[in-house]
Amino acid sequence: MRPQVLAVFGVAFLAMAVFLGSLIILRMKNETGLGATEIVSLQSFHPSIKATSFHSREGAAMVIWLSGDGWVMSNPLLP
Amino acid sequence: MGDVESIIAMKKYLCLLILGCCFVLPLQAADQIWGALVFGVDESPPKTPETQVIPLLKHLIPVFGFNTYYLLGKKKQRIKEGDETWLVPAKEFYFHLFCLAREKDAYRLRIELYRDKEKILATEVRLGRSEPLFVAGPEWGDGKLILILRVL
Repeated sequence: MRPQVLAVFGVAFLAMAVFLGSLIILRMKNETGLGATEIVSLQSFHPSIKATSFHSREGAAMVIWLSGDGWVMSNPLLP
Repeated sequence: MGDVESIIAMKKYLCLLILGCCFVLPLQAADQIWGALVFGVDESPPKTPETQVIPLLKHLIPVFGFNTYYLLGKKKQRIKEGDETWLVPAKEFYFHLFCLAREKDAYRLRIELYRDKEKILATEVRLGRSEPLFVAGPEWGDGKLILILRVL
């Protein structure tokens, strides 16, 4: 095999290794990020609906609780 | 002869490179956000929920207390920083999402909740991968409607 061809292969192989390596590292970073959910701001637009939020420690979930006098569904949603 | 071997070898490396990209690029693709509308109710005996709801039971049961959860609607949407998108798990309730930033372990989102065409709620949330966001909606029948957002 000619040295030029060998050099081209070498560079291509190195570029591929760097490219794939960086993508794998990026993916590992994405997968290891296990963050908690937080409410930064909360605003209700409906005059009769009050919005409150709390963090459920036992359930490990963030909850926005909507409540109000008019906040009951009268129309059935289930088929 | 040497040239032919070189060309064959080059083709082999190119095939490997393309194959590598095909496998790795989808893995690195943007995350998805999953939105759902669930109806929680007490039933005797409790019904087994759909498979997509089962992993959420450990969150749903302690928070809402019902023993049965019906999945009324669900939708998945790909998100990335700067995106604005609609997530419509059910026609009665849907979300307008603005992906403000992609942080190390969470997405910073502005979420607007609509019921029919009326905007009910706006919130800015850091939505982490380990914790879903529940929105406790209106009561219906003997149960409650619950909206769920989570990063997949």
